[in-house]
Amino acid sequence: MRDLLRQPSFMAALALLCGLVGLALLWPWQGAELDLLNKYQAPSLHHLFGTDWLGRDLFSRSQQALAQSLYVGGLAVLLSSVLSLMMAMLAMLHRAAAWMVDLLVDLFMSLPHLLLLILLSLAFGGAEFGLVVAVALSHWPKLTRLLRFEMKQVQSAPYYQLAKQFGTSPWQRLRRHMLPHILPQWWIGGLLLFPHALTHMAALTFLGFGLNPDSPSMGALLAQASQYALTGHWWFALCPGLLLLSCLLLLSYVAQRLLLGLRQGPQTHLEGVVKC
Amino acid sequence: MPTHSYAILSAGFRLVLLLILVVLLAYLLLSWTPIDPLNAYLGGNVFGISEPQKALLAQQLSLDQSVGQRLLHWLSGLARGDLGFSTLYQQPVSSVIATHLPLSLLLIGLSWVGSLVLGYLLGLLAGIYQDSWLDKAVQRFSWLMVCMPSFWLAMLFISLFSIALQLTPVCCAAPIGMTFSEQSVLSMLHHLLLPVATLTVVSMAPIVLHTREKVIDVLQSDYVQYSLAHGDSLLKVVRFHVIRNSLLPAIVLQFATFAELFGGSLIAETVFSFPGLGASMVKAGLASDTDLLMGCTLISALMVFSGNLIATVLSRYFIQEAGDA
Repeated sequence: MRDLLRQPSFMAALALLCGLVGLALLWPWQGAELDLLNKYQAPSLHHLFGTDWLGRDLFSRSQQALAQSLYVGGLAVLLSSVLSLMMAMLAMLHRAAAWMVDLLVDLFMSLPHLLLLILLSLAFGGAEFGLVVAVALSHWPKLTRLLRFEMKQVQSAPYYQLAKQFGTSPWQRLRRHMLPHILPQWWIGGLLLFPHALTHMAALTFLGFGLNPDSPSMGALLAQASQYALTGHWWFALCPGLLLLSCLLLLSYVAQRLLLGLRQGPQTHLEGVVKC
Repeated sequence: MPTHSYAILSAGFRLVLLLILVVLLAYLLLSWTPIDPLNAYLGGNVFGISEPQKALLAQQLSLDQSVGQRLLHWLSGLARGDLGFSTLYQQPVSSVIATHLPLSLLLIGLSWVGSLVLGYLLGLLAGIYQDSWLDKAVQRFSWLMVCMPSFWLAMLFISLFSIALQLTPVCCAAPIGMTFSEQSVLSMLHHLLLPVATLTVVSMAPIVLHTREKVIDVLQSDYVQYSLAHGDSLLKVVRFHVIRNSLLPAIVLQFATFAELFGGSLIAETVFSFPGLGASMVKAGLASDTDLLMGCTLISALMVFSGNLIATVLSRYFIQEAGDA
């Protein structure tokens, strides 16, 4: 981990990401003021992202939308990762429970992801609540599968077997031997889910199943832009989309580097020592 | 070998069990929605009819029955090949599917082949020339494509190729006033170009990265090193060892990720107003057309399952081949 903090590319990406998120969260203007004399303005220094069909500043609206998407997406990812950790721990209890969890994972992964999201968001009544629940309930299987794999490895490791034979209680084994190994994987796995969740949320809102199209969110902004793409107002779609894409790219880059740092971290050395 | 057929059999049994569970899950989710089905049937005009009419309609739509009864009714219809009635299209669900599914299959099939061929070639090149600028460019590109929201890419394609350059049609599967099969083959390809390109590019990344890893593995193996040490050219090694060992896993992976392609078709068809099953599915969801959505879910689940089954059988066959050799 400490090596990672010395790498300039990682630090630059992290700083950029923090800058983007901070800007979106702290941007003071709503972008709701109408200015009918200045509608359909192409991007300029005064309006960085141009203005829309009502003369609203697209830069402010994009910041607003990004903040909204990050908030809703963060909530959904948090719920989803907690659910996946709980499912993975549940599977450790008993063989029947493990069978059930594996079946549920397969079940949720055997429909096209977007279709599952649509069905879930319909079942929970759409809007913000439906969207958060749909994303949370459809993104846990992948992380659960990963955590199950890691947990099985720990369970078959000699130090865990020894701890078992020494008669430590299940709770103590979980706390002292399982969780320290699992938790870093878990939160980085959650971080890796984040860009996926943001993309899926935007797609769902774009199709009309998610957030209210009038409130600024990335999906709603781009859905409105798609009507104007045919009339040559390219910046409606391009500018907010680029902001979203750069955020997604930075997020996935940071998460992947963290994962890489973890894989090369002290854990693997420890494994080697125990095996010898 | 009996163990292999047993493994395939048990995998097949699990797939059938999952298929049944998926249908149950989808039906429960759809019957759980808080949207009033009567209101959806009347297009939001629920106060336009009297109470007795409402009761009669509820009876006709069998809304007065419990979820279990309706599920049984739907299943018995399914056994007779009757998928119900679409309130959105005012047609039986099976005929809606029959008109829209072939277009979707064409779109998905072309993108499937496209992403396999293009992704495999890019992965092969990146693997052979590991750590070169080409390898880095391919890796960056696939990372970009993993993160790319497909609907946004589709919009950019329309803005660039259809509006700014006027090379491709703006929407639909055929010129206005024609059905898909009435037009010439060239016009067909012209209309399919952008949707297929979008789906291909978006779904290519896994196959590129997987093939790259595999190719690097094979190139570092003992037998390839031995072959190279005996003066065989790189071209010969690639033809005899690398492609033989990396093409089948790529095909297996492509079958296994069929679901993502299907999900992508929902978005591509909606953005390009392509009249396939994906666009109908989105419309059915927005209009709460439960029967149609259920029928589409069944079809997509069947397609995903056949993809998974083929992947399982192929990979078993592959393992057996490797074991016998």
